Amino acid sequence: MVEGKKESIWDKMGSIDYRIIYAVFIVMLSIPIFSPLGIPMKVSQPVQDYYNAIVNLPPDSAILVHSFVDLSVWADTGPILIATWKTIWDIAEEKNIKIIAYTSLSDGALKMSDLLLDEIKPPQWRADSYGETWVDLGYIPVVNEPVQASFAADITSVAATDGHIYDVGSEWVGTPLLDIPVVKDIAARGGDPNVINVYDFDLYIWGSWGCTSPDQWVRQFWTTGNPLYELPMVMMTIGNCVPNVMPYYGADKPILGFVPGSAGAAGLELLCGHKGEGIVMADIGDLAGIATVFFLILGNVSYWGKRLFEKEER
Amino acid sequence: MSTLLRKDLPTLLIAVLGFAIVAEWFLPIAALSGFKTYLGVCVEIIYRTSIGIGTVYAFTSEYAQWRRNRTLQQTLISGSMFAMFGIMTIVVIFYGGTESVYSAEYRWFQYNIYQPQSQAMYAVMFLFQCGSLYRVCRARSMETTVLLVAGGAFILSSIPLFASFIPGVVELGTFVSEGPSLGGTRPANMSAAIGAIIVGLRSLLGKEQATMETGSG
Repeated sequence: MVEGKKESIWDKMGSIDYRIIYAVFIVMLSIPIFSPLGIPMKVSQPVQDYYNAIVNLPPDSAILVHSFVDLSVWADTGPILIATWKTIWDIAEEKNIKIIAYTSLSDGALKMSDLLLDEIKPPQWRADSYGETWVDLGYIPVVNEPVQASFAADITSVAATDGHIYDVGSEWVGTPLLDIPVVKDIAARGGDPNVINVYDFDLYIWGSWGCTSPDQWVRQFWTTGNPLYELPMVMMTIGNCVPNVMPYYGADKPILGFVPGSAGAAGLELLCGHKGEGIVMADIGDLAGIATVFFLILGNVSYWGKRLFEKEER
Repeated sequence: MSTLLRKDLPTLLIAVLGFAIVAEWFLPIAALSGFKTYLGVCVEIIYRTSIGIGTVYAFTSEYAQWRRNRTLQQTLISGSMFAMFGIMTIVVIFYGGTESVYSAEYRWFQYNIYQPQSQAMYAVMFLFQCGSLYRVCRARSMETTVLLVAGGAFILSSIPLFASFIPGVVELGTFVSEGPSLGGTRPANMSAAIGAIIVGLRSLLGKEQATMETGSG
């Protein structure tokens, strides 16, 4: 800007102080926290497919559940996990769905132990049949590919015993995996009844906010194994990673459905009928989106206004 | 260091173990699968050890930096680093195991330090990104216009309100994800995969210098 020259309207539009932008976003993001708006929304197809993959499991199926918790992104991903577990708990007892769950991060282990006693408390019949219809192995650091490969080939190679910490089913803690009835039952579904591996499961529910994780999980749980594992999966992720999930998403592909961030969680909450923080987060996402689009347009109007009209003036 | 230790032995180890893992994919032999699983555990141990070595290296390099530049500013920076190293070392050594993570101290650390700190970091990053989007994402050229349209379509399709009530937004976002984005990602992945196969084969055959060097010789 030439010194002394008066700033045009286009200049002003294009050079709003960062602090004003930040303040606008903070105000917009804060509104739903104090007063949820309940902005209407539709459930996206990947979320619908995620839900369908769980509730339409055939009777006597076995599912492997990675309780995806990372406290650093809890606001965005926590509602997905809570809605997922509520969906799982709602599956009728008659369907006899067997569950093996674990968590892969240390903060997740803590959070899950709190959640399972409170927000995602299992129904009484599940609590009474711990060890027979489901088991939570607790913290198993199945994050890196070599560990994932070992886990896929033989779960006991990385988790020898039940290691959860909350009160439900505490009598099973420390029991060797293959001595637990539900594990024994699931292991008997595959080839070798003395080995529990991914061949024994019908669905893998997992999550990650790493955008390269879909590649990694597909490598280790779909394209590996002899014969190939080809374990159908559904995934919890964040909105930014959707382009990385899309190549693997579809009815005939490894990932049958996915929930992208809290906006997706809101859809899952609507489907399963347990409204929670996802709805509030969807409101926040809406308002943040409006502000983002507004500033995006403002920046471009400023640029083109300056380019077109100021040139004419000159 | 002799050539045997520097090159021949690592080459032999990599070749034997590597071909065993590759063979497991082709041959359904239980012993090979078990061996591969065992190697996975070994890799994890090596990985964790390397993190420990890296931490020691970071500590010594920071210390060297402070010795070279003993100003107040550098002392504050290095002092903060050492304090963080100290806290993290205590946390990892005493509470990093699969059972000790359930302790009350580790719980306090996670809920009162790690979670607020990390969430605040992402919140600040979000604000910074929004500010940058306003300043940078402008249709100045063909490339930036394409980026703006593709990014804008994806942003709109990710926001429930727009996705629900603006016709065609979801389809446009899906097209961007499944079309141009996937088209760009797939060749990059294929190139990386071909490169990985080549590097892997060269490592197995002892031709890849980077995986062979174990010392300055």
